[in-house]
Amino acid sequence: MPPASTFYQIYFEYYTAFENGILVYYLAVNGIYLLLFFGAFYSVLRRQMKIEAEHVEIMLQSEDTAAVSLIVPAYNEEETIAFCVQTLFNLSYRQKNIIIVNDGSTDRTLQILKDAYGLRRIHYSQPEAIKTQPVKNFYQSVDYPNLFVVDKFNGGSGDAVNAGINVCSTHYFFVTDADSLVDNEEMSRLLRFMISRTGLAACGGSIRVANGCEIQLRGITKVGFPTNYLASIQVVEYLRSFFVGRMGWDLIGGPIIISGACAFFQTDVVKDLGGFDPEMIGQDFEFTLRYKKEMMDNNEDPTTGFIPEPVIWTEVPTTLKSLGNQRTRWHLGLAQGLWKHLGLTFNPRYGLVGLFSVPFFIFADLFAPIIEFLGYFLIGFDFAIGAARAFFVVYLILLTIGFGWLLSIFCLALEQLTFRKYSSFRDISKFLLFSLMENIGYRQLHVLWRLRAFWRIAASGAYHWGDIARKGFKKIK
Amino acid sequence: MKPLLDENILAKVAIVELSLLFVAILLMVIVKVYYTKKNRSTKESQEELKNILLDWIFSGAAAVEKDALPKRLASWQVLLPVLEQFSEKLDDEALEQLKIRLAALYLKPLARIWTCKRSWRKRNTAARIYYLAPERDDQKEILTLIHDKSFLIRSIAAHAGVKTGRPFLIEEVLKLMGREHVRRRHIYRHAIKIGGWNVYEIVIDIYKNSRNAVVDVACLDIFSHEMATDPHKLIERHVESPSPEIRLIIARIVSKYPSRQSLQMLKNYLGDPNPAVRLEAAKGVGILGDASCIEQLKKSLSDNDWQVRAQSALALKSFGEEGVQVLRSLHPDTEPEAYEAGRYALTLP
Repeated sequence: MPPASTFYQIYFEYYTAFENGILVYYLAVNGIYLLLFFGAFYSVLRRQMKIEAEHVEIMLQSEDTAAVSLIVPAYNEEETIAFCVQTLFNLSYRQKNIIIVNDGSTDRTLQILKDAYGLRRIHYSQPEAIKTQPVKNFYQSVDYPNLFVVDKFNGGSGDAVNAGINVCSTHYFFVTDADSLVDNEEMSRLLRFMISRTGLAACGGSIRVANGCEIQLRGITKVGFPTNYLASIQVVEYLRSFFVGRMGWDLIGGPIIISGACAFFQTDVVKDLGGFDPEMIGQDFEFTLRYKKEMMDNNEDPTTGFIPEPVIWTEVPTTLKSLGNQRTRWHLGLAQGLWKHLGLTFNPRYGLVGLFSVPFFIFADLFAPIIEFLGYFLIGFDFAIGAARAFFVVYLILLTIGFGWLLSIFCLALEQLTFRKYSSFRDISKFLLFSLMENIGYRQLHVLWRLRAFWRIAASGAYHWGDIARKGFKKIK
Repeated sequence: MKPLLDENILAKVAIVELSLLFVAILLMVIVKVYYTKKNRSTKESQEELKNILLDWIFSGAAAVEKDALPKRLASWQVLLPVLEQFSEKLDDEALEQLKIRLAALYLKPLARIWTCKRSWRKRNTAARIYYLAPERDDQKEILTLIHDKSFLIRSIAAHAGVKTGRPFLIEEVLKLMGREHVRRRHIYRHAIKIGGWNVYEIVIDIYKNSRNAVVDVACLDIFSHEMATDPHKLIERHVESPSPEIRLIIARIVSKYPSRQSLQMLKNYLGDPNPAVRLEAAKGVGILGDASCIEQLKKSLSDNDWQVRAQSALALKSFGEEGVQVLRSLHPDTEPEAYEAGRYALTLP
């Protein structure tokens, strides 16, 4: 064992290397985030100009636009399912089928649908294009012939969507969650975007937080900030994530995640790719990666589309337990998807996706909690043994918090330039406040939740869906 | 190892970040204040303009002189959206006159310049102006916009072209429609549809004299949605077309026109090599057919394509007891696929 003075000498050498490493990582990741923001800024403004020029009404009036199936996987959604179906019926787009997939719910989800819509058992003859858990029964509404319900054994969200795709006879389908609210006007824009871009096979739209908003059957009537602390922070997170994390990729082939709560696909393409992988926790992320890979393998255009308009408003978790479960699950999904498609990483055959997008997700997203945790731990340890340079630590923390805040403010400015959903000074002030406060406490918890994903992988390699306590839209205020 | 950064450099980075923070907050405040003010001012101007326009509509539009509108209200940003709103909500002769006059005075000079601009927004605005009040003299500009590379612009210009009622422009729109992807054609059908009966007659004339396959596809597509006269004479030259797209459209057209000839054509199409045509024919037979079609549909119950099988079963069900008996008599062991299709049709509400 070396003497104490030698230990310190070696440690100080390592400490300097660590300090440099942290700095390089910080500058590289944040520099790319800043570039993504500028990319998003350009793309969102360009999209905004097109929104003003589009004549969505022409499409809505038409009776012969392409039919679209709206697929909703539902597992124990008794609180929200009736409201969800009714809002889908209320959409102005005429050519739609609604397919609800009851994924082995143990509550009254199916019974509520039967009571509300007069479901009748039918025999469905379409061949099963994608293998799923066995279907118990197919139902069709007597009162609303465009409402179908698939009742199947539980197999997870991806499996439920696959069962929906199997009964889908339209050229396009849209997937959303039962606890999400579809905005009528923005949905029409998403439909127009997808249908008028004939080469595009996968597309997504922005998701915003519904907690705190006034909601009626026709949609969101007043956008507001939630009163719950965690939900308020998620308002900031969602805005930043969908502007920077999705729209930012628009200039370089589109996002590599199309969220399963707001995803639009060409049916044939998804069937050809075998649908969503039910073994995956983040089946939407995995599918988008697979889609890009397969398209490039076949020398086809791998572009995915994204529109910044808030198409979906979703109820977010308001308790630490359910939020923690959700974030752990998301990170597990990210890890699983990246692991499955590790072959894409730094592979020049896959262009920007292989050389930039996937490596960025690995280093800036997947490993971010490990690096941040190591940072907190080592700084604490260094302070304890007197090795830390106080100014470095203080500056680094301030810079990190400042940069996060800066990105959030940029996103808010972009929101004010375009959609102006949070338009009152009260909401803007709250946004500024929560975007600063998320760095204290919440950010560190978020690191721990995401680290738990690694722990779960190491411990068992498997993870069950966490239960999110649903309140139902009627109770959200 | 030397540290990459010392206090001075870190402090400079912090200053840059603080400056960016300050810029971001300032940007947001400016955007917020600017847009609040701009929106209020635009709204006020538009309200003022709406009142003036209503006065003019009731008092006689022809009296509008060149300087009748103050510059503030005559800008295209104010005038164009207001006139578009009026067009959507009012169908009035005086409004039409007023639109033509105001467009000629304030908007068309701009549209003529913007038709060939590089900026798509300017070309889009030009297309909107021509759609608002198209006149015969505008055909050159409208034609340029119909051939625009942007779908957003050419689809609006197509509406303007149809609105002029000039056969030459309508033919150009039909050419464009025929070349366009099938899922984008509804925009052009819409343009023809709102053009009314006169435009429809022009389309029939163009089709009769056409030797252009692209125009034929577009015309047949329109007939398959809007058919008011006996289609058989019109479509006879395409019944045996080698193009499955055209046969599919023809199956759709005859499905809308009940006659023995239509039914016979649909029965023939049930044996078409293309599954989409067979599917459309099965739908048509379900609408126009009777018990005399049962034999053909029974064969279709064993079609290779499941949609054709399902649609044939539905067609049989629509014939009433005779068709239902056929479906009930199917056996799962001897004709499993036909049996599945029959069960599907029988259980449907």
